[in-house]
Amino acid sequence: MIEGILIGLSTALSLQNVVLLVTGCVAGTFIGMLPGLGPMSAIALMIPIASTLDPTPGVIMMAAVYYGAIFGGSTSSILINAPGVASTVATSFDGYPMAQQGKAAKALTIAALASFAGGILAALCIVLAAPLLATFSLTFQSSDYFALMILGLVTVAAFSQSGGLRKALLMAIVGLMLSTIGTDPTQGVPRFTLGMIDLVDGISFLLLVMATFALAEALLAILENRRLEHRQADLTFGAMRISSHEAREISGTVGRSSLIGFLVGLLPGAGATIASFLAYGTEQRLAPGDKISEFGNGSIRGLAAPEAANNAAATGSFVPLLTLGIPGSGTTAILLGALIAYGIQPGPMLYINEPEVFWGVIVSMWLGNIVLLILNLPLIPYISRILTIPNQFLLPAIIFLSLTGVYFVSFNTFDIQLMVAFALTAVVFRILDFPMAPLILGFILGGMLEENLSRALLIWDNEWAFLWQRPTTLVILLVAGLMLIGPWLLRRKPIRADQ
Amino acid sequence: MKPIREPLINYVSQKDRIGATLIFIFSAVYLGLSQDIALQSVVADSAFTPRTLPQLLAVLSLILCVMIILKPTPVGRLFTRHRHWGKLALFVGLMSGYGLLLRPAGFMLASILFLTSGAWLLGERRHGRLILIACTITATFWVLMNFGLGVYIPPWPTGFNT
Repeated sequence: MIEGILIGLSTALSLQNVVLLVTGCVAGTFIGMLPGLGPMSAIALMIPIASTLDPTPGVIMMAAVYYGAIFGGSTSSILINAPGVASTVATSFDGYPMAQQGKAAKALTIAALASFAGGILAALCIVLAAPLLATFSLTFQSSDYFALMILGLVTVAAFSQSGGLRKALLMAIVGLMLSTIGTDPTQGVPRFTLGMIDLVDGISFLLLVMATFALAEALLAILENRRLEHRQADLTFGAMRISSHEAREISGTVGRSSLIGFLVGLLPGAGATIASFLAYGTEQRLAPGDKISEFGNGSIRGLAAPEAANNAAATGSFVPLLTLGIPGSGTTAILLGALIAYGIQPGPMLYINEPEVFWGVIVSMWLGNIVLLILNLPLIPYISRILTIPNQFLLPAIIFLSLTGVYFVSFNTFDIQLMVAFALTAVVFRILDFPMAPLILGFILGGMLEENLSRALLIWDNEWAFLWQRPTTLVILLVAGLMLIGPWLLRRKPIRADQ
Repeated sequence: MKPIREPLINYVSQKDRIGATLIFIFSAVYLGLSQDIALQSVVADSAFTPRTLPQLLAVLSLILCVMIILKPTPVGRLFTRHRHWGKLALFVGLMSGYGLLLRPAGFMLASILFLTSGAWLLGERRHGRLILIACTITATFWVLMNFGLGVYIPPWPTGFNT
């Protein structure tokens, strides 16, 4: 292993690779900040450049773009409540309230540090246990994935205030219902399309999240004549300072969330989104009594948890890719395609046949995270100045970026009208105190839940017995049950953290 | 009349009840539409069909809605004062109009119009500055997408793009 790390260091630290690493991080960060362009789009956009490079530098650059885009997505989540990708939705729950309290620089610093720690810890886990963990991840079957989706849905309990669990569950179900619109994934028949061809492909995640978060926030600000800009916000380097008390407070959170993120990231199909929600829910439950009420209102634990988890999961998703050749997400699927185009076949033999690629990528994960931290920390006070733009320009610009971000993906003006309708509905439900986060969670998990349930039933010959006869499924479902009724049993009041 | 009307208004204007009633209506329509999902004959007798999950979700949703309507959480009543509904309606119209104009008018014209109108509705009256900022944002965004990321969108009205 030491030999492998040395090979990786000598590969990643060559001048060309360091330059590509820095370029990838910068490009990824800026692309990730644009609503609508997440890590997948960022990597896809980099393929033409990467294809002109040798395999190792090409893969290192694409990995750097990946991390950069995840970090960039967090920035727009925190500053303007516009999570362009699913994995940064949970970041906005506490990051955006912090920005609204004039602590944008501190929020971005915590996000950068938690993200950095998550990435570094997960890369360490890869080095220590990649082949073993890859074999473990393969033992997961559809029924286990179904149970995992249920576990993910149970995190809605974290988004409910006292007595509001029913509302959170209801919104999660509405999200699941919205996810069924479009072509059925199992039989290919259209559902709830109302005869409209534009709905055959379903509703895009990006459209829904931009409408219910960014657009709804801007429309609410207009409705309530609220100012989003913070002219008095402290945007100096001093504002980024994290006290030793705060560092101690989030250190445990970051460690736990990184582990959750890494383990969930290992599972093909699960990914950074579930990891970030699970980490958030876990931290909300583990928080001491006086800290629970801070969740959803600018809790530093609530911000650090999803940030550490989503970056750790992004790193963890490289395990099945590099060791088994199985892409765990859309992003790693693009990377797999790029590797195959280079003539490299990922799999158990990769780190024997192509050690410089395998270890080069692993070491570049560490270097990439360090580069991201070095590059982004000094930029934070400048990035935070977005919030000093006067309201009359900031609000139309947020709406403009949200609308065009979605339009540039589909090139369908119907999506703009659908967005307006969803945004208006979201405004109404937010006025009525119905949380939006569970709706997004339900929507994200809906497709995967249905696919895995139908596949599990097919494997188990149309019998529901897999729910109690398969040990892994049963254990996960029991954990989900405990998570749901645990707070009630302990007579603890769950706190709302919807926006 | 008044003693009867007031409790009734209190009951109906409870935020949870309004929200749950709206979702109840949505779920009922959803449940009705789920009956229209076509089933292939080979899967009609399976334990899991394209109708299974939607129907399960609709029933769960209806049950939860009824629970909330009957026993809402003790949160405040709906107050609609101090809200600028007119301005919101204008913005919704502006966004919808942007969607309708984007293709025929082209990205540049539609976007500049949207940004200037939006800022004007929010009280910006320095027209020169307003137009300059709108033009800068639009042009920068178009250049970034077109040349930086290779995403092309026709900038000018239909028939004027080369």
